[in-house]
Amino acid sequence: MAEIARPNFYEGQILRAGDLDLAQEYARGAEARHERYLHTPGVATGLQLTLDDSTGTVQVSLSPGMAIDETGRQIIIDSALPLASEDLDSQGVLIPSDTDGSLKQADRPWHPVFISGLDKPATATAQSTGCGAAAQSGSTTEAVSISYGRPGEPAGDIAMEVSDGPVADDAVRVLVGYVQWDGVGNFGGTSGAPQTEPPTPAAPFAGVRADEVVARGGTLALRADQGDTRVKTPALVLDAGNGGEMCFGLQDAQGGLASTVFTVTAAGDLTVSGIVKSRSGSGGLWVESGTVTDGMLIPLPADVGADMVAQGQIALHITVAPRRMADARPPGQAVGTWLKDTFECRVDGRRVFVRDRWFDTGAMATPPVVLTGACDYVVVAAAVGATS
Amino acid sequence: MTARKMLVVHLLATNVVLGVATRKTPGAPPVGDLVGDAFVARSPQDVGIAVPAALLGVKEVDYSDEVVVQPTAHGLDATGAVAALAAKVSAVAADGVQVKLTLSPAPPVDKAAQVLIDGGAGQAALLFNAKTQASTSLDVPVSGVSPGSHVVLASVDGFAPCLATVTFT
Repeated sequence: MAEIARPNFYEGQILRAGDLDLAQEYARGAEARHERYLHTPGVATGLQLTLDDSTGTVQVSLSPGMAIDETGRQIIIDSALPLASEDLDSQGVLIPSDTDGSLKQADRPWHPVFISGLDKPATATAQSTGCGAAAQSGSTTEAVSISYGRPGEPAGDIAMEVSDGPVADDAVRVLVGYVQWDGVGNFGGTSGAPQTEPPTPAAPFAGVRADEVVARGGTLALRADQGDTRVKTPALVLDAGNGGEMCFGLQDAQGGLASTVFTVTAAGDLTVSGIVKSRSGSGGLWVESGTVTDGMLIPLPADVGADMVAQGQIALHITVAPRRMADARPPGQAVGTWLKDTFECRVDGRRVFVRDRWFDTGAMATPPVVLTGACDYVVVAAAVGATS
Repeated sequence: MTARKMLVVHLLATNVVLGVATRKTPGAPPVGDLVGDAFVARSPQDVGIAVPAALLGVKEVDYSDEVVVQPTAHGLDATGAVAALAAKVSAVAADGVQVKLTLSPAPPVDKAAQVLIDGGAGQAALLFNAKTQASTSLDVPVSGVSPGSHVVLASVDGFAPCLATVTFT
């Protein structure tokens, strides 16, 4: 195991190049280990492949940006970097379908584009000579190399010791996107995440390795922002306010939740605005009950919309029963002994049809009095289409 | 303990109650949730007319068995409470140009009256509004009604409505 060493300086010390290099290497190693073990490799910002054919000649370039490779080294491109199509041709990664004239351009394979960090000593000058030594370079340029892979080729891994610092090597690659060959002699397309079968992994963004993330302002948010775009991208917010709750929804331009569709409080209360589905297929259930009169619709349970029923997301199970009341006579009849019978009590869709017949026992030969009536109902709304 | 409530669906123009619903969920929903596109007002003889939801309102009021038993014998008063209607539209007749309502008793002047006439199969109902006079008879001018039998719902503010089949000449 390599030991980590840092320089100690003291008054009167004769500083050698090795002392200064050690100070630099210590800092570089510490930063690389932070990047390597507390972050995941990938693109930190920028580094998008773009294709420009506005001049009549296809030109692919990589936009400025920064990536972190798996050794923890930062790879920086500070101005747009043109890609040379002859490099793709010469690196031995083209396959027959790249040049198959019978294929449509959309069906041509996608080749991964990688970047790697390289160290290039600056050119030595006559002034950069040591005592009795030849001219040496006084600085190192952190350069970038671009390479291409065969379709589906991964960036690859490199074995590292924990104590290792950043590595400058062509073998340490970060995927930044994909290019297509045009079948003849130039690039035919670019993509960050081409739709292919089998699926092709998208160029990864750098991430964070953490077992604990602590908010200091009382609110912790996970945001699926796309670049600077927030509106209509989702966010998950852990909020210490309101007694503690977790909310999920789409964001507004300020990063607030424009529409919270899921909330669970620290007390365990769960509120969702959509349908709760379960693997059992039973889904969510909502119940409503009451009384309705002839011609009305059975009211839907709270949180169940008529559109959800119409679209088949919700199935209704309705039962109705004639309303039994302590009414001795039909309305408008002040005397007599009457018998009440249900003439009609049914549901068509959600609309109820209820009529009662009243028989005057003192005049059974006369036709009964028919009146519209009321019924008691229970409606159970069940989510359908659940996964099983 | 919270008083038991019910939802009454009423004609916006005349405040006459047409239907009642109760449910466990508090508050009044949009009227469309309780009637759909239209409320089907029908007579005991199964003669009906579709009253467009746009003509209807819904109000949450204290529960009453009497209103559930006979909704159309009730209306909303000036305070918004449900009250039994002692007066009624007792008869409806028509010719080609007007619908004649017989009111019992005579109403105060300037009360809202509304006549809804079934337009026939696939046709929207025809709507006509008028104001009462101090008379037991109210003539409501109508137009566009094809000759023949039509279901008519006649309502007047403060009067139980009348649903009848009327012959137009």
